[in-house]
Formats: sequence, C-alpha cells, structure tokens
Amino acid sequence: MKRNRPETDTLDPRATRLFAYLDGELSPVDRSALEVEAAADPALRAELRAFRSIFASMKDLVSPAPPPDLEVSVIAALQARPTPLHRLWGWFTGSLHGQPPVGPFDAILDGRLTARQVAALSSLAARDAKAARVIAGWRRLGHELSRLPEFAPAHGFADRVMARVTLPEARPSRARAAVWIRGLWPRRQERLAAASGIAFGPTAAVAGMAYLLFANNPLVTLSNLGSFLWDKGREAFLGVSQSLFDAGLGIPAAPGGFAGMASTPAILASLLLVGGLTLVSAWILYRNIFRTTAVYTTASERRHVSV
Amino acid sequence: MQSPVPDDRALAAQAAQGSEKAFRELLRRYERPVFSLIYRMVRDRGIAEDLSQETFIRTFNAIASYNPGYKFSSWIFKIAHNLTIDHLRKKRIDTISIHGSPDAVTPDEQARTRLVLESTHERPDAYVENIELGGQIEAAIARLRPEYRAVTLLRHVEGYSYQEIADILELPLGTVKTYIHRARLELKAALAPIT
Repeated sequence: MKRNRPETDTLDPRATRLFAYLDGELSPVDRSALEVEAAADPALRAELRAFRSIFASMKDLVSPAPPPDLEVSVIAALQARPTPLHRLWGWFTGSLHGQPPVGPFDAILDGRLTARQVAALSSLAARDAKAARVIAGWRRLGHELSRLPEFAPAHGFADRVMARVTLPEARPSRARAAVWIRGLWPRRQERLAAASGIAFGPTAAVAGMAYLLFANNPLVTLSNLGSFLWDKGREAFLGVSQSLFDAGLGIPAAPGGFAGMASTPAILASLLLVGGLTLVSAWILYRNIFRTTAVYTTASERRHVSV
Repeated sequence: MQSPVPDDRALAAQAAQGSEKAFRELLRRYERPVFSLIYRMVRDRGIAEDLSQETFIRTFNAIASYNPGYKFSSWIFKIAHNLTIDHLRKKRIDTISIHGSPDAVTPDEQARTRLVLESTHERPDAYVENIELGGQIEAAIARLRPEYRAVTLLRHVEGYSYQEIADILELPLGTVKTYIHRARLELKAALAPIT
C-alpha cells in the first residue's frame, strides 16, 4: 500500500527542474546545461514553451477584492474586541455565555450588540460611507427576518389530527410517579450545574452555624472577627508546620500539637473561608448556567405565557 | 380570579392521562409554528399539511414517553424536522429517477416506471403558495441549503436560542453557529438589491 507516502516522492524531477529554470532558481551552470539540452530536444523546447505560457497567464490573474462586508466586519470586530479585563468580567458575570463569536453582524441580527460593538459600529459608519451601507444592509436583513409571518394550516387541521390519535388511558399512580421522578433528572447543562454546585449544602450549613454562634453576641464586631480569624489561621498554620517538621525528623507528635487547629473556632474559621469561596463559585455557576438557561424561551412559549 | 394557563409540561402530563382537551390545547399552540417550519422547508401546502399532521400524530401517540426534563417544544420540533428532512431526502431520490427506474432495462420497463409530470398550468394551491412565499426574503430562504434553512427558521421565526437549535437538530453548538452565520451571509447576498 502507498498510504502516507511523502509528497516529495510524487514530484517529477524533470518538471521540478523546468519550474526551477522558469523561476530563475537554477545556478548559472545548470541553467546553461538546460538551455543546451533544450536546443537539441524539440520536445523539451515545446514543454518549456507551454510552461512559460502558463506562468505568464498566471501573472495576469487578478486577485479578487474581498467583499465590502468582510472588510467592514473585520474592522468592526477588531474595534469592538473586548479587552482581557472585559472578557474576565463577562465570564464572571455570565454575560459571555451564548455570545456567538462570529462577529458584530451576527450580534446585530441576534439583538445582542454590546455597548462596545454599538460604539464601534456607529463610529465606523460615521466616517465610512461604505461601512454605513453594509451595516444598514445587515440591519435591514434583521428587520426582514423579524417580519417573517407564521402560516396556519387549512381549516379543520386539529380535527384531522385528533381523528388519528389514540387517546391514552389514564395511567396508574405508580406509572405517574415514575414519569415524575424521570422529570427530576435534568438536562445536561443542569446536571453539570447540579454536580458543580454541590458546595451549596456545606455553605448553607456553615452560614447557619456562624449565625447561631455570632449573631447575638455583642462582642462580635468586624475587627474582633478579623483578629480572631487571623490568630486562629496563624495558629493552625503553625500547628500543621510544626507537626510536619516533627514528622520529618521522626519526632512523635506532641500531645496537643494540633490543639490550636482542632479547636472549634479554627474549624469554623476555615469553614467560613470555604463557605465564602463556595458562595462566589455558586454565584458564577448561577450566572453562567442557570440564569442563561432560563432566558432561552421560544417565541411560542412567550406567546402562551408559561406558568 | 383567572386560573393560570398551564405550561406545556403540565399539558403533556394531562394528555398522557388521556385528556383530549390537553391534546387540543397543545395542537392549538403548536399547529402554526410546526406548519410554518415545514411549509417553508418543503414549499408545498399539501405536503406541509401531511407532514405536520404526521408530526402531531407521532408526538401525541408517543406522549407517554415524553420526558418532562426536556421542553415539549424542542421535542415536537425535533420530530417535525426529522420528518421533513426524511421527506426532502426521499424527494431528491425520486427526482433522480424521473426518466424511469435506474433498474429498468427495457423501454417498456422505463415507460412504466417513468414519473408523469403534472400539467404546467398553475394549481389553486400553487397560486396561494406564490402569494405566501413569493416575497424576496422567502425566495432567498428557499434557496438556502435545507440545513441552513432549518436553523434560520428556528432562530428567526421561532426565536430559539443557539443551544436549543443544537438540541433540536442534534448538532454541535459550533456547527449551529456556523450554519446561522453562513445562512445570513447567503441571505444578505441574495437580498443585496434591497438591502
């Protein structure tokens, strides 16, 4: 089998030599040798003539200019390109979710132009008449598409359908329960969100405990809480370092080596920290997945006002 | 106080319990969107009615297997789209054999399997179709490839999100974005004189 044969194997050395000659890439010695050879060989002369004619006609080929849409699209996209900070903020707030990455014209038709894109397109249209025409054309297309009507089937359609539908018998409650349970298993995106948002439970537990412990204590102020967290955190860090150091030297851990870390406030402090971070991550998940999923309603559902 | 309008999932659950009223309400909600999608795909009222009818019959007869974890609208559009694409594929095969079956060897066999073309006089329903689908934008949509046409209609007529279109057509999200982008470019080019 000749699979994966290198491309160079298929090159004809004779043609390669002729191309090099026509491209002016042969050394003076090789060039003279070829010219002598061609003078004596009519077939080689004819071949050279044919290639020379092809090369000449290729020089006359005109590169087609890109369509104005492409040019305007690239300029507008470059001008409206979000900065890394904008991107980070967009990801954090979930506003990048579902954004088509294909350019400002799709954003026009999707009604999702960002403020930067609006500004970029406006300034481009103001200084370039061609760009203004292109942008207006896209807006017009969006307008035409938004006016496409829905058609109705002929009268009596519902009756014709219903005549051929077998009405199911009422299912027993066990079967209904099975369907209800199956409905609890969400779609892929929601499964992902559920799996990632498992930290909600611990966060709620920590927040509840913190509330019970601190809410009614007059000694709990922001500065007291800060010093407390700092002391306990430091204590825990030193406790762990000491025990690791001792373990490295083979010294058995002193009875109370973890005393500071194991104290209830230290655990609470750690849990609070984890809880805080969990809340942030849950918020990001919510903005990026749940919130945007809820936005996806069909025109039909909007018309029929779902509960 | 007015009772709240039940959503599609609740209606589907009632329909699965044998409620004809629920079936009729689902029909009322979706007959126009489903018919419009199919009509613009096949551009023939009669065929569009047959395919729409088949879509509802299949959907309703399988209502017991409907998973409320998914949108009812996505489910019914998926069935409608699959039926339409099957029809378009079949039609393409039929049009190839307009001069008789490729297996026909003798002139007699070819004559028997040849498709009989209808009269070139305009049918009444064709007249209606010309009025309904005769606009420039409709003509431009009709010239799109079926895949591009489907994504464009689901996006612009039914207002589905990219992700929902990907779910309905069972395509990767990136492919849907590319199809929509290319379809728009083609529409823009086709409508250049008016845009």
